[in-house]
Amino acid sequence: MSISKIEVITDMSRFSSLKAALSKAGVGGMTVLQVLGCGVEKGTREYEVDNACEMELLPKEQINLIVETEQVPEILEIIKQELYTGHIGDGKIFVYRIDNAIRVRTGDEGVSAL
Amino acid sequence: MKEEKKLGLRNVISVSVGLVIATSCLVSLGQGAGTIGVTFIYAMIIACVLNMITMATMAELNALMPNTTGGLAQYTLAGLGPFPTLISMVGGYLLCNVLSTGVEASIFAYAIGDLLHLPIPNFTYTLIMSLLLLVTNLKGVDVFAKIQDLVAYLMIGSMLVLGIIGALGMGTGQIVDQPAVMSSDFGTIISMTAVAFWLFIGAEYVIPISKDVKNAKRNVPLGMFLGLALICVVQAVLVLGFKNYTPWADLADSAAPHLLYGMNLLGMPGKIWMCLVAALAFISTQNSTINGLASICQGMSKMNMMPRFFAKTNKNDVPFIGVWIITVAILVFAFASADSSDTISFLILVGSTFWMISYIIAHIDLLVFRHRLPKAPRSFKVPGGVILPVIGILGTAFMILNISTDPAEKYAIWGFTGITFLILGVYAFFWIKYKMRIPVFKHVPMQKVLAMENDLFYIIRKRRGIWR
Repeated sequence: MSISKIEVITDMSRFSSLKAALSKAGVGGMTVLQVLGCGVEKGTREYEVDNACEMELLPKEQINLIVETEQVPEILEIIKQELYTGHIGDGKIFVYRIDNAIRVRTGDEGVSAL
Repeated sequence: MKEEKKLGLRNVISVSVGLVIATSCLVSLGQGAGTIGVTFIYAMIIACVLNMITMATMAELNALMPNTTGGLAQYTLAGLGPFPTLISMVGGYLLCNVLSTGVEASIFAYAIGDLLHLPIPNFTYTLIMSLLLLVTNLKGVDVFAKIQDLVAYLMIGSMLVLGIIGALGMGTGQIVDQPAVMSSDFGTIISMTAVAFWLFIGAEYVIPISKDVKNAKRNVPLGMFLGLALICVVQAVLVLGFKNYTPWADLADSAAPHLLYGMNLLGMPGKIWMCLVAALAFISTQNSTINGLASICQGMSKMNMMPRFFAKTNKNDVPFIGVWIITVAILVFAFASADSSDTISFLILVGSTFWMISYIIAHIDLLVFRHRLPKAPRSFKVPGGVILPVIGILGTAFMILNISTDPAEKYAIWGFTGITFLILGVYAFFWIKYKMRIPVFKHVPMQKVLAMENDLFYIIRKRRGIWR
């Protein structure tokens, strides 16, 4: 069985509700980073008139999940439903294939390491 | 810390029932049942199903654009553009609500006058109550916030109890010997769905509370459907009670059939009971209308869709100009329909037409978003693809085309509606082009419509002179 990484970048205010929803769905672990970034709007706030000329990096949360590839569609749906508001800044999700994962303590590899 | 959601399925049902049930429903119920007898129940079921389809559409639109204060105005602005938005909101919503509350006031005044028999015009009662509510609203006091649920339970409970007593023939009054069915012609029943429609409109007012509902994805649409089904059942039982105690002809001609039925069923105690419950329901409705519509006008003014004076507030933070205008407009319609069951029925049908048009626009908004944003996450999606929204559009259009069985009345309703929308169309065109300065017929991107929820959106544009 293969494993995948789901990387979610979203506004800091959405993190706690996303964590609760993923816990409820049975996701076993995550890594969270506080990052700076912007998308195609270059950090322009939704109420502003003109788009920013220069990128303005806004504080965001990056949440990394490693899951079985079979579970990816279900977890993506949960994340999308939880983060969606229709406003600019809802976030982005990236999905990567993972070649291998290893649990140091036991030496388990692949899905067993999750 | 995230605020805990407090409302459950039971709250959603009680809110939707409370918002839909009004004394004008009883006039439509009396008129419909008085015309064709108990077969009116079939027309009610069809109208109930069409309204459920519309509520499903509203639930999906809310899933796409959650936490919006303007509701249908914002869905339409993002879906179809500012021109249909202004027309449908001002005509199909504001005007319709003012009109229906004016009719409610008229029914209230007639009922109180019929009970008290004081030597004063019935309109006096409306005037006194409206002035009291005007003062409380200007002071920012929502007198009925805490008892609105209680009033809804009283109203629906009273209707159910009186309906059961009547249906089982257990009243103290004389049972009327009359045929149960006045017309079983399918075409006639179908044509009465337009009258039945009024019994179920307004459940979409639940949508603004959805952010406070636990498991909103399930409970909001389910609560609206169950609320409508409950209203259908209770009113069907009431029709069976009407059959036993109220001559059909008297029912169709009465400006307050609930009083007539209460009197025939249980004598004076029954009449007083229905009068008190209906009075409370009316006062609650008028209070909600005044502060609700004034807030909608304030919100639309912030979106630059209505004159700026609607956004001005007094020291109690109340949009006082809107409160005054709404109250006066309600009095105008109340005066126009005073004591006349024909005028009351006519205005109810006009109000229905406006509301039906706004429901058709909601279905079109849904189809547009299905095409434009097929993959956007939706916590609720109307099942069956586009079939149900299309049925909603066709069914509602059919009801508008058959709004009355009297051709003269039908053309009068269409004419009134057409002229109103023409005037609104002219206002909307010039307002959008020269005040809002945006393309008149082009939709506003959804993210921009949602951004309008932020007060800074308006403040920045006002400072830059983009919006005057």
